[in-house]
Amino acid sequence: MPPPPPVFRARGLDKSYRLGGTTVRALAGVDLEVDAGEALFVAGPSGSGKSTLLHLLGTLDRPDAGALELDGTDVGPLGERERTLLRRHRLGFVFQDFHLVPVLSALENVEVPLWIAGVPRRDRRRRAEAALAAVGLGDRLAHRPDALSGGERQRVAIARALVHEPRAVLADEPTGNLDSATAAAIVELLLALRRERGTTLVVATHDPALLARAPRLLTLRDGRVVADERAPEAW
Amino acid sequence: MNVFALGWRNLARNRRRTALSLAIVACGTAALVVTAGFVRFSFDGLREAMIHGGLGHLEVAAEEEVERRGVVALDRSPSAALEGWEALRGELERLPHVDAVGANLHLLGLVRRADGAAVSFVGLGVEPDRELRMAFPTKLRSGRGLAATPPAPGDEPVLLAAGLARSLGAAPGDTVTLLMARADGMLNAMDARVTGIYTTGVAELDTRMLKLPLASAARLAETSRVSNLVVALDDTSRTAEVAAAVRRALAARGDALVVTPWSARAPFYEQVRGLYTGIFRFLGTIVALLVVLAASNTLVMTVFERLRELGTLRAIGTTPGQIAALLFAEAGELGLAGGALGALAGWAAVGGINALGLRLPAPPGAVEEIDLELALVPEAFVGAVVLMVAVLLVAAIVPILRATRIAVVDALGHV
Amino acid sequence: MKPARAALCAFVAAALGAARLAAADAELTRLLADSDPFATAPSEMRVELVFSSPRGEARVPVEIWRKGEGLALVRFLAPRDLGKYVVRRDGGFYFLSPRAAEPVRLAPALAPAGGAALDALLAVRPSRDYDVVTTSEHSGQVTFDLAARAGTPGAPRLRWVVSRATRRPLRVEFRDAADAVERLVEFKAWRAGRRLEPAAIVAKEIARGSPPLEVEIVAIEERPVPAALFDLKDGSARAALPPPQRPPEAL
Repeated sequence: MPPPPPVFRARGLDKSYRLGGTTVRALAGVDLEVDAGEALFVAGPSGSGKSTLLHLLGTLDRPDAGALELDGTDVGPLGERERTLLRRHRLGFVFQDFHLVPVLSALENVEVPLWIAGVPRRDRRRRAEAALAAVGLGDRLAHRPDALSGGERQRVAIARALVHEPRAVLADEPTGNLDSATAAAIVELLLALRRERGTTLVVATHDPALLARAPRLLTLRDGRVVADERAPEAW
Repeated sequence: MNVFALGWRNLARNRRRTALSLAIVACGTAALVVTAGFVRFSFDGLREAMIHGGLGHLEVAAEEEVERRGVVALDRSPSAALEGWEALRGELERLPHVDAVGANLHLLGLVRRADGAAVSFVGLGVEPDRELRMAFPTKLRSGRGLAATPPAPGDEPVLLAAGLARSLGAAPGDTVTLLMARADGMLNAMDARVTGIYTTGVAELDTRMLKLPLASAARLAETSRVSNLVVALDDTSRTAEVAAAVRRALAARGDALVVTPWSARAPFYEQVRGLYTGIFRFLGTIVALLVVLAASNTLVMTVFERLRELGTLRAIGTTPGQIAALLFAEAGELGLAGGALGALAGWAAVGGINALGLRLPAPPGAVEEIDLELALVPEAFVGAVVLMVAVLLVAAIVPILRATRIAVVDALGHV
Repeated sequence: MKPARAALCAFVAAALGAARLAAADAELTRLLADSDPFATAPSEMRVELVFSSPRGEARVPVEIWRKGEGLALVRFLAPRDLGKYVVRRDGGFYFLSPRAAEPVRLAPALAPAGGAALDALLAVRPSRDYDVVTTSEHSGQVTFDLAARAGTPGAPRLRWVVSRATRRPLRVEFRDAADAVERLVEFKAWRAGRRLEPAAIVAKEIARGSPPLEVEIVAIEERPVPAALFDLKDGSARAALPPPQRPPEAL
């Protein structure tokens, strides 16, 4: 039986942006494969292309050149609606600023991916409650984001990213707005959930504490991969 | 959780802005509701004034009488083509919703007092008792109205309209001589005693009109026929229904008579109605445009502030259609809430204005002031709210396009 | 030819021409006089007439009493119109009705059309009161254009058309000073006998624009007419008039 395709397979990804009068090459010919269940941390200084890489992997943006496969599916020819549906069912996102809907409670925020997918209410609720319990917020279901701490908000965001059992979760600087203790807890949570569920994880970060725990570390500089190191499988 | 619940919550996020938007929508709604009430008041008032001013709800007349009818009553030449009308009248008065049926004889001639100059008149032979039953009030200025009992020959009373009386220099108690030509051209002259001076309510008609009891008019015109029968109903909304019943009754009798509803005999009413409706639509368009502009501005700002949130939703798999549904729901709810508030405010405004007991100056051509009594128009309430919802949905289009066309990464990076 | 002889010839020619002209003029003058139906009409008379519209739907029997040029009384003979009169006196028309205590002065436009036309016809004396302005002849019809002499009441101008063969008038146009036709009377039938007496005319009030009226002249009777008939205050003489002698035509 042939091995399953990697969750992400990128070949020669190129992406440039116009900033004022200049063109910035954010990614220059990046090749990458991320297997199922793998936890990839992407490191690099500011402007190295980390966020751009995550955006491309998450089909939030299109490369100028190169190809990307998600679970063996070439996403290049897909239209906007197909890409949206792809994200809906196979990907989860965690953002630096949490990006929770302020008028929804923690439970309702976690329900959103299920709600937009048309999951019935009772099922939706049950799964969201379970997701929040999994991130340790089983007692904060009714709280709105403004009643939660930064760490709690990010836990809610993580629960939202996982509730629909995606193939991969993309986290862009998930600890960027958290204090170090909270940050460590969040990373620990992410890695634990990855171990429990086998969810592929791609985390962009410049936090050294996180990077030290990276099972696999991809280093970018000026849009290129300068290092791709795997740590011993201790996690 | 559904788009509507989410919409209400989002509206509550910025209470001040939402309150202002609600106020704009409510004001627009209230303005439309009050204006509709004024327009309906005008239509109803004019309609009932025309009906109870002598048109009645229906007219039964010979075809030749209907055909020779000109636009201006003053120019119409009289005809008395309806014979055997008493039996017909009796039958019509037995129909449901018919209050009374009065016979009219139209006259055209000259009137003079003593050796004074002759003045042309347009006259009406009426049945005073029937006029009372039909609620056709005669607005007396002086003297007395016509008695219900038909006068004996030689004792002919006449009511002169105010302008005509002024031209003749006649007052109650004076004798005037009426001169007119019969249908065959033969002249007839008849003395009549002025019992009272009245006003038709229309300045131009007041210079020419006079009224006689039907018996006197018949003696002047030397005919036993009448020009038409006027049918008064207990409910104006029954006009079409009763018109059909009258036509059936006439067909059963084999009478080739024409039944004409009041609306077909009141081109002035239709013209006024058309004018007012046009003005109202114009006003409604202005109000809608203002609300669109104001609401559009608000919604654009709202979306602008929530671009990152909307980008996040798109990132996690919400389609542009679902984003649009969210924003449309919000806009629609704003329209609905604002419209409902406005309807309430409009209802209160109508009641308040009516309680003031205001009077409007006499309309063009009329003689007397009218009491302002705005109507509550259910269709206007519903229509205004629906319009506001529609307007808000239209106002949401531009913000929605903005929210769905922006690249997801740009939206995510929006602060 | 010697000058004197030429002059004499010219004179004779002119005299002969003038004589021919004078003879022609005299002949026309005689024709005009012969065609005047009322030249020898009595100054006081009673005329019985029936007016009817061209299709005969309405027939109005009337009686006209004339006393000289200034007084005329029209009495309506139909049963429903008994008691109604039109009096012409003092240059005006007055309508008297049983239902009105006082007479009503009528503007000329309101005077009964047929009566006014007949009245005008009875009063007109083309050969006595008018001068011939021009004449023309065509197809046996001689047309006289006449202008009223000073002091003549009635129409300022007339066009009087006569049949040369019968020497009877065919039609008369009553015209105003600007020569516009106000009234047209056509002679349709004549009573047998020596006197020129019209039996039927058609009158049309051009100025009023009313439809033509046919007038059947039933009788013209010379008789004394009491002045009391024309009294606007006292109607007793009128009330004493004998009832209609022949059954009046019903309307």
